[in-house]
Amino acid sequence: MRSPRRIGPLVLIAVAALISLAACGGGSSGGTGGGGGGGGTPTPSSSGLTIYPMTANVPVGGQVDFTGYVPSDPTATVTWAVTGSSNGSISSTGVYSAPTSVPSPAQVAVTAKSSNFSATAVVTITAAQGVAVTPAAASIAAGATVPFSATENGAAASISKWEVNGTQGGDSVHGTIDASGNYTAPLTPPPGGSTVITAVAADNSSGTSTVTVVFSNASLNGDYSFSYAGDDSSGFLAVSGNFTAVPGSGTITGTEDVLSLALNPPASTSVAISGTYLVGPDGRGTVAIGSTSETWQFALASNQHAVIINFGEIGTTGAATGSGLIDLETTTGTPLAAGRYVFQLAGLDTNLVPVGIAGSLSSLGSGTFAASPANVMDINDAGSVTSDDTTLTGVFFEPPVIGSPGTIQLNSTTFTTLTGGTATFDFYVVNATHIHLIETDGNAYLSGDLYAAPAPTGGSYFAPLLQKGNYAFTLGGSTGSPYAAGGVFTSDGGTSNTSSSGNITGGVFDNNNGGVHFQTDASLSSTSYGVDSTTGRMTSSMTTKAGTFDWVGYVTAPVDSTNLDSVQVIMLETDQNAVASGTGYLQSSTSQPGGSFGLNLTGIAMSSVTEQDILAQLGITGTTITGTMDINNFEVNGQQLGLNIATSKSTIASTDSNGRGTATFTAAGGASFPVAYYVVDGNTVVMIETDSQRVMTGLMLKQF
Amino acid sequence: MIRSWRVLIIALVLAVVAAAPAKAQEADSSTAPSARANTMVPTYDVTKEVKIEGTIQKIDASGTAGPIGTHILIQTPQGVVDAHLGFGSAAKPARLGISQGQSVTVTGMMQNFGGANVLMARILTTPNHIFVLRNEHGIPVRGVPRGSMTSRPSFGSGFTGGSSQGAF
Repeated sequence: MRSPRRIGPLVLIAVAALISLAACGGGSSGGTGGGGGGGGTPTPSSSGLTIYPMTANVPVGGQVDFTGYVPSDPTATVTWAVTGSSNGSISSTGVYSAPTSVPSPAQVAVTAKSSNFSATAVVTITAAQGVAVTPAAASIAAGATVPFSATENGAAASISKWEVNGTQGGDSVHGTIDASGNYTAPLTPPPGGSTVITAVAADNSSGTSTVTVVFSNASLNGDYSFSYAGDDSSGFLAVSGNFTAVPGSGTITGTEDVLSLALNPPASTSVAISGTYLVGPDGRGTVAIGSTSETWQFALASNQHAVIINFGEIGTTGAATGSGLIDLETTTGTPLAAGRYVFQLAGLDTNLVPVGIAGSLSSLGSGTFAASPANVMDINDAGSVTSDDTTLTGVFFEPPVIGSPGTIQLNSTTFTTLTGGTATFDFYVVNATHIHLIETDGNAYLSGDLYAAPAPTGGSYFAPLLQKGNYAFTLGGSTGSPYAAGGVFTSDGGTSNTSSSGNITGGVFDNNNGGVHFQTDASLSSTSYGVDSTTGRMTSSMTTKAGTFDWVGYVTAPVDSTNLDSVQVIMLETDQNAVASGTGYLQSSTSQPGGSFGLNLTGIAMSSVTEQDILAQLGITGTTITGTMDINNFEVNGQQLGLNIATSKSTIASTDSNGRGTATFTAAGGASFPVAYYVVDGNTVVMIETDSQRVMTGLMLKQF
Repeated sequence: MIRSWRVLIIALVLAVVAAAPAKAQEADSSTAPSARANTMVPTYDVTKEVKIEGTIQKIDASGTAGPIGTHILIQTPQGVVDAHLGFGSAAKPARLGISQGQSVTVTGMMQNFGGANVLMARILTTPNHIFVLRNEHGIPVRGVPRGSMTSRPSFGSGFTGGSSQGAF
């Protein structure tokens, strides 16, 4: 532990550095009154302790409410200190009170400590303002209500209106404020992570306060659906379910299906789950499901979505790992209503070799899918490919009670070969256009997803189904080795509106085969694609100088009804020596990522031979990366929580014109993850790892 | 370091196994293997299989060369062979019950990885068990990087609708 004598100079250096940072844009005064200010995007620290906000401007006599957080120990106690007797004071709970006169220098270091960690925030003391808002700056938990007050010339101000982000009364994105100055933070940090509260006095003078909104238990609030897949030493683990999160008690209750070869028999059934959860200010959180001895780590992108990893255990089978997503359930509409759907399944067949499936189903509603040949599926069963099986049909049963799974039963020549008969799945509803599937018949071991598909145009599908534009994609699976590929391909949208074919006009491609064979930033050659008029099934190939592979695709409708660009293409490689599947995403941005993100990486690592799953919360500013990483290297009991990102060994490069870039995420203490990444939009990035240490695919979702 | 071992190219001097895929794989081959090969990655060919016998000289479960996965170095009369048993839980040495000094027979195909020859093992025979590690396409049993096989985000770009989040 550092001695106080050594801490002093370090604090001064830190203050100087932080002042420099603030001068680079972190400390706008944010309002006509000049109070408040600071805040800016709350970048995670790499010191092991993060202070929210890291900078603040406050008038003499003003107040700042700080939050300190230790990512590796979320419940750790933080102590506070201010250096210099004329620089104000701070309470044990992090409430800083500025001095009554501007000190020299005007910048004051506020230090937080916990165990071996410390961090320093910088407060800039300004002259008294006409209207002073209290607190002048604050860190506020998502969903919390905090009273604000205002004084003018030392007396209680007559406030005519309160604004948030320039809007009287505020809004759901930035938070709301009532006429008395009670501000309620949104459930998710607003864009940039902070917002400005303005008090406008009767004489039209005003003062401001900058609030930094941090994630809290309130950010996981309501009904969610989840799904993840991984390993529990049996070679296969898939879990799907739903839960209701109650922030007040920090509890979840719900239902899940667990499918594992370690079970006897290895067939999934739904079971009730209950547990507790805790969300940290950075959006990273933990769920402990006592009923199944299951532990999750997650990183919220918003109150709607999170990336999740199993963090080391599932009671039914022991040590475990896995990666997936948590999504807020929306109840508008009826799942599997009449219309067309596309689906994707992956897992193992009865011989325990990997299998990938993709297909399309036409629902008639009322529990039935259309008869053959309206439906179609493709399967790659460990290199044995059956294409264009139009014997597919089936039935479905809605969830009998709220919270329980529904059931889908599918029949086809292919499923008969694979499972010996009807393939039966439980399904969990995310929304009317998306459900999670998990097999329950015990005759194969599959999980996946089903999405709504676009309606045909005039009764038929044409090449514009794969609309014109770039698609960022990743594929993962197995050759003789673990395999991952990614890139961006460009569709011309078809040669005409009624054509059955179009062209992939080019793109970029990377792959990692076993950590041995690599292609890096390879050019994709022009090739054609075809679209089946009845089912919308598309076929194509990808070619680089190194070779060619074939794939089939199934296009979804926009998965977000408010965003017509949110189109995905389910992809299945149909080669005899590679079982790989993935998703392509219509690209709407190619800009280099910046801001705060949740990250998930999943795949096979050299150091353990088996699956590893990685979770992180990252702050990306220019080429600089800070943040915290959690690693589940389950086979060697290697759960590592709250590792700092080694900023000096982490960096992100700008994107090419097609949205491809490279980055390296390095955890303090060693593990380094170099990736090629592909921008989908301003909020979504997919990637693959590009070194010999691991074969991984990844996903990064923007927080703010 | 595996590369430092005297890994010999012995494929040509070993007997070619008349490929007889294990029963576990026969069902697969009946379903329709008309697909082309992905020519970006090596192709497994059962007609080019070899069968070797020897003693396990070293078990490397954190592979330092060749494809990621479990490697065993097998001392044969012709030299040392680096055999890749696959990856994932099924290829863990403890699951296979293999140990240094154990006599084994391996059927597989030699492939070159960056100048090093590695035997991609399909069938491993130990004194007590026969393990089918790959099918006739060379795909490892239980060899799925699980997370990467599943569909990923349940939303697309700018997940902006239907909640308190609003637009970013």
